[in-house]
Amino acid sequence: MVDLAIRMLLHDKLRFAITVAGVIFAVALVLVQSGLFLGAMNNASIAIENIDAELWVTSRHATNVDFAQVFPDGVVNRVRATPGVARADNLLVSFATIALPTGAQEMVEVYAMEDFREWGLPWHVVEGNVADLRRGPYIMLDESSRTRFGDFAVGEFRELMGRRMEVVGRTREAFSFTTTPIAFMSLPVLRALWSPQLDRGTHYVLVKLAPGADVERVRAELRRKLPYNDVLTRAEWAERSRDYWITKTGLGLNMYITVLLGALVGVVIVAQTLYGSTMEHLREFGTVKAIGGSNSDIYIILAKQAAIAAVIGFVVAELPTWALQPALARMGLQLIVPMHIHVATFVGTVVLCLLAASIPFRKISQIDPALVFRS
Amino acid sequence: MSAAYALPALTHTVLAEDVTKRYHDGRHVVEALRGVTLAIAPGEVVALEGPSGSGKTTLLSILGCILSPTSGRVTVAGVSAERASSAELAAIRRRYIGFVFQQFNLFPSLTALENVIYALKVKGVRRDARRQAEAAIEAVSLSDRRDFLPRDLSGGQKQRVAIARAIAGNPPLLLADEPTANLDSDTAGRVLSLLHGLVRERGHSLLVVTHDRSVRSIADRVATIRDGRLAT
Repeated sequence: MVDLAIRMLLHDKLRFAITVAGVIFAVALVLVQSGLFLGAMNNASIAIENIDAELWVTSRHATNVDFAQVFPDGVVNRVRATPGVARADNLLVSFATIALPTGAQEMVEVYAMEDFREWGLPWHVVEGNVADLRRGPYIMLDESSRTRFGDFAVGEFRELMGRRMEVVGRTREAFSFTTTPIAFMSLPVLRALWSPQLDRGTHYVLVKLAPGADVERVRAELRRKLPYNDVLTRAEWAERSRDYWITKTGLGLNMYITVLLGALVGVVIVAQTLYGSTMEHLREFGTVKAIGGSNSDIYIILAKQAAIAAVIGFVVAELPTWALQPALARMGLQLIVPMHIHVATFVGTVVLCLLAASIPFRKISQIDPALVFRS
Repeated sequence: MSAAYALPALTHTVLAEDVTKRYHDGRHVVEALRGVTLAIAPGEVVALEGPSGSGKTTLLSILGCILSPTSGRVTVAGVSAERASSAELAAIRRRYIGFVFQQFNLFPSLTALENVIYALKVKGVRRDARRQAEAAIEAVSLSDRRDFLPRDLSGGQKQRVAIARAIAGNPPLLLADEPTANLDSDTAGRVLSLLHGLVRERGHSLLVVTHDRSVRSIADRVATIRDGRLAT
C-alpha cells in the first residue's frame, strides 16, 4: 500500500509532532473547559435534582437555588391544603459563617428542614444518621468541605454563627455552584441562628404529589393560591438555576469564548503547519499534477494528513482529560465530559482540521504544474 | 515486454500545429513560441535543442498538455487538447504521456518501487500496479535498489527510477526535459543508452529537450528552436 499522504507526513516527524501537539492542546482545552463548566453546571442543580420533590414553591422570580429569598412560612399550610398535594415542607437554604480550628472563618451553605428523611436529603450519607439532626445543634458536613475547612471527623465540634455544633455525620456529592461547602441542620436550629430574620420565613416549600395527582393541575391551583410565588417543576427549577449562572453571570460566554479560542488555536496551528509543509513539498504536488493527478488527488492527500493529525491529536488529548479527573476531584472540582461532548469534539476536530487543510489546498490548486521543469 | 499503449494507427503520436505562446511579463508581452509546427511519429526519437530562453521548455510543456498554447492546435495520440479544460488535460497526461525531469522529481518519502506504483495509481492502475511497477523497475535494471529511498540513490539511479515511472503504464509519448543535465558524462551515456533501448523495444515516441550534444546519438531527428521559432 503506497500512501503518499502518510509518507509525507511521517517524512518530517518534527513538523508532524508540532501539528499533533496543536490539536492536542486545542482538544484538551475544549474538553477540560467544557468538562469543568458542565461540572459546575451539575453543581448548580444537583440539590434540586436529588431532592424528592415534584414541585418547588419559590419566591417570585427566584434566580437559583443558592440565592434564596424569604417569604412567609405560612405558605406551606396553604400548599398542604391544596388537593393533590401529599406532603409539603419548608426548606431553608442560607449561608452562615463557620469558625475553623485554625481560627479562620469561612462560609458554609446550610440546608435546613424539619425532617430530611422524607425528601431524600442529603442524598448520599457516608457516615451518621440523618435523624440525629432533629435532636439539637448538630450538623452534617459534606466531605468536599475538607478542601476549604480542613479535615474533620464525626464527633468533632465546629462553631457556626458563634454557636457550637457537633458534627454528627458526613455526606458526599452535596455541591453548590458557588463552591461553598454544604452542611445540613434542622430547621429550628438554623432559625435560631438567624433569628429574628427567619423566625416566620422560609425560602422554599417542597411539594410531593399524591399518587395519581396531575402535576399541571396541582401546579395551576398552587399558582392561583400563591400569586406572589413561583411554582416550578423540578426540571424547570433546575434549568432556571443553571441558566442563571450561564446567562446572567457571563460564565457561559466565558466558556464559549474559551472553547472558541481553543478551536481557533488548533485550526491556526494545523493550518500553519500544513501550509508550511505544503510549501516545502510544492514540487512534489506539482509532480502529482504533472503526471496526471487532479486537484482532488491533492486534496485527498492534504485531507488525509489533516484527518490523521486530528484523530491522533484527539486520542492523545483524551488522556490528560481522563487523568485530570481524580486530581480535580481532590480539589473539589468536577470534570464532567459526557459522551456527546466527546463525539461532538471529535467531529469538530476532524471538520476543523479538514477546513484547515483547505488553506494550503487553495495554494496548491493554483500552482502551475510547469514548475516541475524548473531547476 | 509489452508495447506502448495500444493506439489506432496514427501518423503522429503528438502533433503541434502553428503553436504560439505569449506571456505577460509586467507590461511587456513575451512571445515564447511563434508558429511552431512539430510532429513526432510513433517510435520516433526527436532531440529538441536550443539556447536558454529559446522556448524549449515552453514547447515541451505545451506538448505535455501542462500548458495551453495561446493559439494553434495540439493533438496527443489522436486526442485534441484544443480548448480542453485543466481536468481534460490532466486526463491526457495520465493516459498518453510519461515525463522524465531534469530534477528527477521523485517523491522523497517513497522508495524507488513505490514512486512507480504511486504514478501508476494516479494513472488509474489499481490491482496490477505493483506487478507493472516491478516490471518497469526491472526494465531500468534497478531491482536491487527498488526498496531504497531516493536519498540513498545516486543521480543516475534516480534518473533510472524517473524513467521507470515515465514508462510505467506504457504511455505512447515520453517527454524528457534535460534528462542528463544533472549527471556526469559516463552516467549520462548510460541513461541515454537505457532510454534509447527502452524506446526502441517498447515503441514509445520520445522528445528530449537538451543542451547535451550526446543526445543526438540516440535521436532520429534533431529539431532546433531559436527565439521561439523551430528550424528542423
